[in-house]
Amino acid sequence: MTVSHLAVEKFRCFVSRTELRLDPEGVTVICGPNGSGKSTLLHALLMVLANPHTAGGKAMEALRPWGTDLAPEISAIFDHNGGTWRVWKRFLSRPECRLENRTARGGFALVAEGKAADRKLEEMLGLGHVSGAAGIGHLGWMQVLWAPQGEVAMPELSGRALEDVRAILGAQLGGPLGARLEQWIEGQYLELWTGNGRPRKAREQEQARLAAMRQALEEARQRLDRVAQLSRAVELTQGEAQELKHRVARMRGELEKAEREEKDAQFLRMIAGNLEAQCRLVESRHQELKRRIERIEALTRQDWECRQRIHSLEASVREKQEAAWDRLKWAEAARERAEALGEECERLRARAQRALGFAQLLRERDEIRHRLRRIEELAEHVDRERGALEALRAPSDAELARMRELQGRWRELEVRLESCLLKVELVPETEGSVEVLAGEPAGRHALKPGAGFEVRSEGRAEIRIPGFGLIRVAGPETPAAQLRQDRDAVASHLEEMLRRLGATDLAEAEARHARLVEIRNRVAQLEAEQRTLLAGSSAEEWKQRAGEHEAEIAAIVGQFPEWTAIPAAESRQLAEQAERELQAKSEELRTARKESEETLDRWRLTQMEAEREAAALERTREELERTVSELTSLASDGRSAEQRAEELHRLELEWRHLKSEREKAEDELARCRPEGAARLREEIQNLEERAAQAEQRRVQAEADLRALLSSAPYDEYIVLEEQTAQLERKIEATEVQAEAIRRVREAVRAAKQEALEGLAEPVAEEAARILLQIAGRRLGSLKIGENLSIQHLEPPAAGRPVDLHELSGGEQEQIHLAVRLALARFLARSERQLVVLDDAFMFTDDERLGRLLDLIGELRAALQIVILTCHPERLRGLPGARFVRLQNFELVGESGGYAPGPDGSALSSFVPDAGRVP
Amino acid sequence: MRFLHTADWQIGLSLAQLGEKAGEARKRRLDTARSIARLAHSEKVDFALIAGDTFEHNGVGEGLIREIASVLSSFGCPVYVIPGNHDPAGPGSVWERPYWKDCANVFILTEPCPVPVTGATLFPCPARDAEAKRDPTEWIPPRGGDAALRIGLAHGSVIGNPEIEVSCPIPRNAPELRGLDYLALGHWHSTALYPDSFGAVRMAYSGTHEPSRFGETDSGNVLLVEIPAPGAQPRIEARRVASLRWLTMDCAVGGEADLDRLFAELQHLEDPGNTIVECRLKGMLRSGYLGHLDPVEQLLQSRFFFGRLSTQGLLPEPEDFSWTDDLPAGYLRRAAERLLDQAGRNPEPAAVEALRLLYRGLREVRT
Repeated sequence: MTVSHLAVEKFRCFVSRTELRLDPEGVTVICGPNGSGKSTLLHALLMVLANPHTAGGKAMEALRPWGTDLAPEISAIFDHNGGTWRVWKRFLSRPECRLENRTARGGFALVAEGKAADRKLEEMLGLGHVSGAAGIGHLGWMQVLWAPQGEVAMPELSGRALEDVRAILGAQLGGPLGARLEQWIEGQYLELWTGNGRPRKAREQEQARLAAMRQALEEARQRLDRVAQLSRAVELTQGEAQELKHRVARMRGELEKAEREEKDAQFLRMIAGNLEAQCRLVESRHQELKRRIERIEALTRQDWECRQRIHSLEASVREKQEAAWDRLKWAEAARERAEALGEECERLRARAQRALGFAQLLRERDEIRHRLRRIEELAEHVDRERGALEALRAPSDAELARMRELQGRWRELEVRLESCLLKVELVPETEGSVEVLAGEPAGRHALKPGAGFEVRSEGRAEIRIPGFGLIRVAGPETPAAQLRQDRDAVASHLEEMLRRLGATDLAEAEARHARLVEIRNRVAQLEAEQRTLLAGSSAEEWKQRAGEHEAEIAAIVGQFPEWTAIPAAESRQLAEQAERELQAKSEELRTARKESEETLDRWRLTQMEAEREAAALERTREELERTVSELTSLASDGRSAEQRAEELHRLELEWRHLKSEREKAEDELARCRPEGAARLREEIQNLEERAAQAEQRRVQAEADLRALLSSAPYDEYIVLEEQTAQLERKIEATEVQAEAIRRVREAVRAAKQEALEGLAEPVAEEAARILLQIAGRRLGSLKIGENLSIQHLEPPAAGRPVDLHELSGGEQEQIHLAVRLALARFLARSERQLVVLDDAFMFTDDERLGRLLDLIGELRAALQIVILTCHPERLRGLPGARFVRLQNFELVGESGGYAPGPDGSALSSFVPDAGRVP
Repeated sequence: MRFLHTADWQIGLSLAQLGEKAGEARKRRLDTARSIARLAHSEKVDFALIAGDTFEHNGVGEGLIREIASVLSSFGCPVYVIPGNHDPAGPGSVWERPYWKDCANVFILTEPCPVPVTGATLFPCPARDAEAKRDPTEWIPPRGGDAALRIGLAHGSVIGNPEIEVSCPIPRNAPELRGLDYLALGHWHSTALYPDSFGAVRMAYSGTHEPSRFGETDSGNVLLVEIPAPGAQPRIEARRVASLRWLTMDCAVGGEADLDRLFAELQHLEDPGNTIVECRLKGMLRSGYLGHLDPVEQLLQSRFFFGRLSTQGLLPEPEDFSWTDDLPAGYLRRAAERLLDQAGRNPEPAAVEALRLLYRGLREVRT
């Protein structure tokens, strides 16, 4: 893209319309002092190309001329892809945008307006999308060609901008033929695939149609199978029906025979029935007689047994009653003996308790005696201590406290008095004398070498040293006299108190007080023990108790004289002896009582047995009575036992005969098998039903078969089969084509991607060549990353990769320019491109700038270059450049080459256009 | 005695491999049946025998059955027909339709019992089951004192022929075994004569009257059989009646010249309107020549009744980089080399087609 014309109005400092013509075929230098609007013009060009006309916001508002609400208007004419375009935009107030294309007749025709025009521009120039104010970054891939003021460094490319650069460079790799071939491949691909790699709808529809046809074909095949199934079904059901009919015919013959046998069986069944009835009657009579005989026999046996049992029970009852009487007597004797032993035990228990009480009394009497002795000793001890206490002239606690207070007061006053006195200490080196005229000790005193002599005084002191002179020492007025008087009063009071006690000093008084405290404590301790021993009673009461104990002991000794001389210590053994005698007698008593109980139990048992046997005897007598009664009844038929046995035998023979006759009749009946006819009738009915069902199925299958065949299922099947096969072949061919074109496209894209990833290398080589031209061999080659950013330099002298920051500002500037120009060269292979350099040579020295300008002169053959500067004199060597001067936001002139103004200044004026320097 | 022996008309046959021409090819089978009727008429045969599979399936439409009834009525002589394994007798069979009652000269023999014909006895062996494993001729009683000609009519596979599936097996010496002067067979689609140990042919497959697929060696005939007397050697004449020719051409291809030669050969093939051709290419071809296949394919599709080009046996030459030089140097050439490499390693259709496409694209954009 190249730009030939830019018009700005109401845009920042350009209030009135300013038009700038740029040379698309060469180099244009826009120069002017700082603040003349050079960069604003560049900004305007960016706005008209990249900024949506509807954008708003604070940054956009700043585009209005200061203090106005004018709407900025910008237009530009540019060439792109072989066409000439004009774009006009008004921002902020009533925003508007028009994009026009130059017609063959030289005019411009509207292509799009409004947002459509913005979108068209964005798409056409590969711009980045922007919603607010556009920056250089929104120029997309073109930002590598634009170096704004202070930003000569290569921008970091990413996303679409990087892809676009690669695409432009990549298109050059394949050349026009490659581009056409790629376009052809893409066209072929898009006929069968969508842009995002999905099969075209037509292909999917064909697949769906094939699936439906396959389904229909399968259904048609199933109908053909159904024809075969139905045909077999007709045959099978027909055969089955015939077979069943044959079987029915056969079975009807069998039925006739069976029915004849059935009549015979009915006769036999009647005979067998009669025999059965007679048999049961005889059997019943036989059973009855047999039971009567057996009962008479049993009752006879029972009668004899009862009589035997009565005899035996009567003897046993008598024997048991006698034994019971004997045992009752033994039990009475045992009970009496146990009672005697019980009385003996009670006597022994009373004696043992008395012995225990006697021992207790003796122990208590001795204890009271001991307690009374100790109480008397304690009373004597307390009296002795109290005597010692009275002999001791010890101060009381209050007196001692008062004396200690007086002692403390005296010391305090003494210290205070000491601090009020002036002190003068003389330490002589030779022997001499001193006379104290005022102060203590007053008068003359001898001095010894090295021995200090101290003089004290109140307020003032005067000391005369012979041969030396008078020394007067003065101090402030003090209450020393009052302090001394108070001290002496306190000392007098203390001495008086000591004198009353007969003590020489406070220490003695304190010692006496300590002795006093000690005796008091001991007395308190003795009194406490005394109280414990008295236990709340008086000594008289304790003596009375001792007398009571003596009286009780005398009473017991009167009862048991053998205990008279027994001391308290042995009284315990006496009590234990009595207890042991009691235990022995108690054991004897328990044995006697147990023996008495056991004898009584034995009596009860014998008594119960006698009663039980008496009851059994009674029951047996009753049983005998019943037996005799029944026996009498059974024997009342008037027949003897032998007659009854004969009758029983006769009935048995008759029953056996009848049974044999009946079994014969039943055997004959079984041989007749009368149930065969019924079974046959049932089977015939069953077979006839099955035959009818088979026939019905046959008719149904035939009807189904006819209906199915009437639709010519095979004709339908082959049509479907042929259509399916045809469609399968078509789809197969299409799928092969689709897969093939996909592979071709993928292969080309993959190879191209690899080639693009290697693009950085030729760009780096070109940049190194440019750098060589500008800076010589010093900087060597450079390394460019895949995102076209500069990685490092490889200067020959360094022997290692050198980071850009290690170089001077001028060299950094030159390296960035070299990479930008190298990229511009590549990008311009397909179309002439605009390169903008705003104050891009700030740090480059004159010598290298000269070479750089030569290079720019060469590059103008392929590139449109616009340079903005405030030092046009530095570019005077730029061949073929057109200089445009800006001053106070107005174009003030232009020329075909640089010329200084009449005043000699670089920017003061321009000579008229003298044509371009070749 | 002179009669016509035909079989396996398989009216209604599916011909899916012929694509949209299937319907027309099916109609040809019916036309050829009509021409056989005319032949029987012109040759004044005593009768005609159809040894099974007159129809492809018992489920064919009523129209076709009526058509065949009409064709058989036009023979001008008695026509004896047995069901085959494709149209077996039984419930729902085509032979149970009412149309045959109107054909006075047509005898549908659905039961294995002797049928007296003028000067001979016919022993029909109809198929009742598509997959019967029993010899259908075993019911034929021995000759005994029978003085008339004994002619068998059966549908099945002659034992010992590995190319025929074993259903309804017929012994190789069935005529001798059953005392037959001639056994007219159906089932095998190519004409096949079986001479006995004396060199006399007493058993033969007439084959289908119209070829039904590629690979049939001698189909499209009917047999005219003449037997002068019982025990005499039959005189058999195969008469071609088919209207379509099925041709398979296997071509070894090594270069453009082979393709050109094939093209010329196809151009000079006679009667292309009645010829079905399948060209099967084998060998290796430089990818640059893949484009030369297009005219061959176009010729096959435009000139013949039906033509098909099979390139599955044709592989791209793996070391062939000649045509890639026409591509711009760089990534396009590298992509072409990769596609060539892929096709060389795994010459599946898509891989070969990819090369063909790239070549075609290059040719188109250069022009």
